[in-house]
Amino acid sequence: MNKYNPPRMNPSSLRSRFATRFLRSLSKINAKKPTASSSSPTEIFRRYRRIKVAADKSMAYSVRSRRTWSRAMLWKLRTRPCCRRSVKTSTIVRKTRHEKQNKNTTTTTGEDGVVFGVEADELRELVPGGEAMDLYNLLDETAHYIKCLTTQVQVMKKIADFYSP
Amino acid sequence: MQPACSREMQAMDSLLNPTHHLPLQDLQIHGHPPPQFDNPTPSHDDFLEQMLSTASFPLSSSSWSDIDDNAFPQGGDGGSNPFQAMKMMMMMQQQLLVAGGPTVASAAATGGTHQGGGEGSITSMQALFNGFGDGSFSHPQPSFGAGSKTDINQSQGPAATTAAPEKPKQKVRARRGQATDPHSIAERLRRVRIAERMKALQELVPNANKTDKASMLDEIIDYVKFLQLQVKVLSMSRLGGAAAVAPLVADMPSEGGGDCVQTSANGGGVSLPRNSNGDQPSSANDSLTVTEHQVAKLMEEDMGSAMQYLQGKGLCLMPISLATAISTANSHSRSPMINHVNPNNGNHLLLQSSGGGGDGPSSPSMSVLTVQSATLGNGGVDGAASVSKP
Repeated sequence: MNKYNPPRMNPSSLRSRFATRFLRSLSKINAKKPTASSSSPTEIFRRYRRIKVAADKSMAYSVRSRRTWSRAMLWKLRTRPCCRRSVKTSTIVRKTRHEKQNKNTTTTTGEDGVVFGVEADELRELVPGGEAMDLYNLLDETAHYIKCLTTQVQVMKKIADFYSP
Repeated sequence: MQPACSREMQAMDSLLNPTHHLPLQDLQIHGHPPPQFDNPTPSHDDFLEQMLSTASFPLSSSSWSDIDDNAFPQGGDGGSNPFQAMKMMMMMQQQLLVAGGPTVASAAATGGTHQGGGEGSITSMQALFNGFGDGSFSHPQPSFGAGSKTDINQSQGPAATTAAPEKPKQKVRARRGQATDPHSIAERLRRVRIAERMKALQELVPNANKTDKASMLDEIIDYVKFLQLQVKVLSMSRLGGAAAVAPLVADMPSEGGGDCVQTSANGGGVSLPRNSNGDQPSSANDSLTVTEHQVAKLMEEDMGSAMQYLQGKGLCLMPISLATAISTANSHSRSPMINHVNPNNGNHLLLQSSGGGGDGPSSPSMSVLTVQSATLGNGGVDGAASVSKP
């Protein structure tokens, strides 16, 4: 009798960690969803946001706080839904101001800075938490961020393929 | 000159020491009464006065220069000759006049311990000399300064030059064409590290033909944007679970016109409310989704009115092949977005086509594509798609 051995996956790899977390959050979202209407646009948009946030959050949690971008993303995700409260807004405002100050001080200088002036700023906007980093660390964070994003995309694709006929 | 200087230093120290070995001997030789040394502080002045009064020595500059050149044989010891002691004091003052205390110390370059004492003694010596204000000394001083300046300078010159080259020899010898400046070294190191990082990134990003750093960075930025876009798209396609259709999701038409490119298994070709600037996704998304929903509603009723509505907004529907053709024609720099999508054969971010307006809503799923005809310049095709299921 041939036993089907599923291909062994490294249980502690980024991919498996992200996959388990994301599936868990997806099931939670599905449990919450009202069975009747998903046709109202705002409802759908909200659902989309929830799923995207779940994906980002599970990815950030898989990385824990080892990376600057994951820390920044977790912070952003935590404070975003609670924007309504005045206390949180003040902290948000303070942080953005602080980040802007950091951005002013950490402009890349020197020969490489002249080359990378515009692109470095653009990259800083893309990578979460990139405003307060110099070019070297920014590139490092970008590399890890790209790796995590590709994992995320692959896992989500596989889930989507699996669940829809 | 250095040994002479050091000996002079020693002489100075011994001269002005409270122990008064030298002056005692001098005074004994000259027969002065010793009780003058009971009080040490004014004893310096007394000693000098005695030296000046007793000894008679030529004050011409030439003789002084001869004296300068001579090495002092008995500078540090008893100095039975007060003349020599006086000479040493004059030497010190000459050096004071010419180069100042610190340069004497640096010219010596060896007596680190002597320097402190030497400087202190030199300043005290100068104070003593100034205190005299004698005409006999005021006269020869300028001549000393003038005459022996050259000698002193010459003596100090080789000392200085010998001292100076010793320092850089301890530094790392620079390679030709590069500086040893610590700033430039740090810059060089930084550049090397950044180059390493760029190489590592290059392996992650496809289309990595590294021509230069700036274009490489542009590629990286585009790729990050593309990946973020894919995440958004995938999260949208999962709305409603299995094969549910939402206005935000464009599905693959099962029959489909021949123009459909989407081939993924779930048929979840999705297109996306794409923003012209990624800074404020939420607000832009809202505005686009509203449009989409309007279009979806209209589509359910009447296709024509939907088309008119779209055109009123400056949007249009078109088959995907045409869309890709147009986008590749227009967007030169941003075509990597599309190029990435097509070969991946995954979920295409673009723009699905409807099977033709005339077919009507017979197909179970219909894809609708809207393309903003205005700006294709940033990031592939800006478009929003909506799907309505009849």
